[in-house]
Amino acid sequence: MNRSDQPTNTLRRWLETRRSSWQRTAAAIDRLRGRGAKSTADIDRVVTEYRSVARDLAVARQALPGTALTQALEASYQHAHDVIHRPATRFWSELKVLYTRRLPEVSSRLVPQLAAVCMLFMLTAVAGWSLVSNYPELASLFASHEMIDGMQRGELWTDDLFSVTPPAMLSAGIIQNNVMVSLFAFCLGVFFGLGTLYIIGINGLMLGGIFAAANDHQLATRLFEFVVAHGVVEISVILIAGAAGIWLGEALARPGKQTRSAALKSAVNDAGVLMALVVPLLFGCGLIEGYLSPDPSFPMVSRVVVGVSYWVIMVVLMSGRLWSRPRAQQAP
Amino acid sequence: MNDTHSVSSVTGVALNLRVVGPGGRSYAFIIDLHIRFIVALAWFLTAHYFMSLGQGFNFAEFEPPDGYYIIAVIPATVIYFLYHPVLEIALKGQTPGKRVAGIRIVNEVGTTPGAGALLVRNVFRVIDSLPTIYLVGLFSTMMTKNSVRVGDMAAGTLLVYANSTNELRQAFDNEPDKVSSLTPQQQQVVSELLSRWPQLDPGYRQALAWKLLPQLDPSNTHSLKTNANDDALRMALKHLIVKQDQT
Repeated sequence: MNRSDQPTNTLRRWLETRRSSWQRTAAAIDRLRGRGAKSTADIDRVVTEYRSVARDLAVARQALPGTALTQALEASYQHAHDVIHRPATRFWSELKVLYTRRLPEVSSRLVPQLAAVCMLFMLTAVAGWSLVSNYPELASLFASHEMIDGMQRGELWTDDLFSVTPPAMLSAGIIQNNVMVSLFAFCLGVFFGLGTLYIIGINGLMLGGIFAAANDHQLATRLFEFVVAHGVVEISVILIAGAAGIWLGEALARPGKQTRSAALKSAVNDAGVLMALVVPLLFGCGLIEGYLSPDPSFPMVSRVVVGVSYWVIMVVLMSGRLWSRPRAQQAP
Repeated sequence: MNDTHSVSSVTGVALNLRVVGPGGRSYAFIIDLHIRFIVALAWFLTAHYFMSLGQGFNFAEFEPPDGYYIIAVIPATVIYFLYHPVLEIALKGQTPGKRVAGIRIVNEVGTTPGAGALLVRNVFRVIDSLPTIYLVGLFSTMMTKNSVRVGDMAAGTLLVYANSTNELRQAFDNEPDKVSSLTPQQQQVVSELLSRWPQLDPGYRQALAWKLLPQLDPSNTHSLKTNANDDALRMALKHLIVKQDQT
C-alpha cells in the first residue's frame, strides 16, 4: 500500500463504520416526522445521534465537499434539528391560552391605538356627514346612482335584499367582504400605518356620507334600523383590526433597538392575536346581516337588543372574563 | 440575496439551509394555483350538475334550488381561498406544489413553523398580491436577503429546499465507492484554488494547477497534454474532489 492510499482508506473506513448508524438515524427521523405513533427508542436514537451527525457532517463538509453524501448528511442533520427543536403542538391548550390569556393581554395594550383609530373614524364620519349635508351632490362619491335614485323614491337599497338574494349567499358575500376589509385594515399597517389610516378614514367618510344622504331623504332611521343589529360589532371589529394595523405601523416607524424586520415580526406576533377575535365575530355579523337585518318582521327593539348584546359579548371576550373562573375565597 | 441561510446549533455545527429564490417560489405557486382552481371548479361543477338535473349547464336560465349556495358555491370558494393555510398546516409547511418543487417552509431557526406563523404568512397574501399577480411579493423576494415576501417577514418564515428521504438513503448506500483520494487538507487547497479561479490571472492559475496536479494525482496527470487549456485544468482539479463527476 503506498502512502497516498492511506487517507483514502481511512476515509473509506470512517464511512463504512458510520454508514449503518446514519441509515438507522435516518429511518428513526422518518418515523418521527411521519404521522404514526412515535417510539421512545426512535426519540432516544435521534437525540443521541444528533451530535454525531453534526460531527460527521463537519468532517464530510471538509473531506467530501459537494458530494451526494454530504448533501444527505446536511438533510439528515436538518431533519434531526427539526424533530428535536420543533415545539410540541397542543392545539386545544394553545387555543385556550389564546382566548383566555393572550387576547385580554393584547387587548389591554391596544387601548391607545384603538382610541386613535376611533377618533379618526368619528372625525371622518362627521366630515362625510357634513360634506353631503352641505353639498348633497357629493352623495354620488359614496353611493351609486341606483342607490341615490332609490332614496329619491323613498326606498333603501336594503329593502328588497331579503326577497332578492338568498340569505346564505348574502351572508357568505358579506362575511368575505368584511373579513377582507379587516385583513386589509390590519395588513396595510406594514406601510408605516398609512394604509390602515386610509382604510379607516375611507370607511368613516362613507358611513357619514351615506347616513347624510339617507337623512336628506328622511331615510336615516330606516337605515339605522337595518344597520344596528350587525353594524355595532362590524364597525367595532374593523376598528380593532385598524388599531392592530396601527400597532404594526408604529413598530416599523419606531422599532427601538430592534431591526425593523424583528420589530414587525414581534408586532405581528402580538397584534395578530386580535385576528382570532375579529374573524369569528365577523362570521356572526355576516349571519346577522344576511338573515336578520334585511328581514322586515324584526322590530327595532329586537335589533337593538341583538346589536348591543353582541357588542357586550365582544367586550367580554376581549376582557377575558367570559372564560375566567370566579376566584376561590381566601381562607381567613 | 443569499443562497444559504445559516442557523447556529448547540452542536457548534451550523445548519445550512438552501434558500429558494423567486423562480422556485413561482414554480410551486403556479402548480398550487392550478390545483386549487381545478379542485374548486370540479366541486362546483359536480355539485351544480347534481343539483340542476334536467337543466344542464345553462347558467343564464338556471334557477338555484334550496341549499345550492351552501352545497355548490360556498365550499368551492372555501377550497380556493383556504387551500394554502389549511394544507400548509396539515402538511407541516408544504403544499402539493411545494412538494413537487422540492421546497418547504421553515422558521428562522430552521424548524417547521407553528400554525400561527403559517396563518400569518397567508393573511399577508392580501399585501403580497397587490396590485395584481403578486407583484409586491415578487418584488420583495427579489430585493430581500433571504428572498422572502412580506408575509414571510411578518411571520418570520422562509422557503428552503427540502431533500427527499429516498435520495438521502441512496447516498448513504452508494457513497463509499466515490470517495476522493485526497486528504481533507489537500481538498481544502484545491477547493480554495477552484473558488478563486475566476479572479486569478489565467497564467498564474494554470501554473498553480500544473504544480498541484502531478503531486495530487500523478497517475492521471500524464494523460493531460502539456498545452491543456484553462478549462481542462480546472476540470481535472474539480475531478480530484468530486469523483462522481467523472462517472
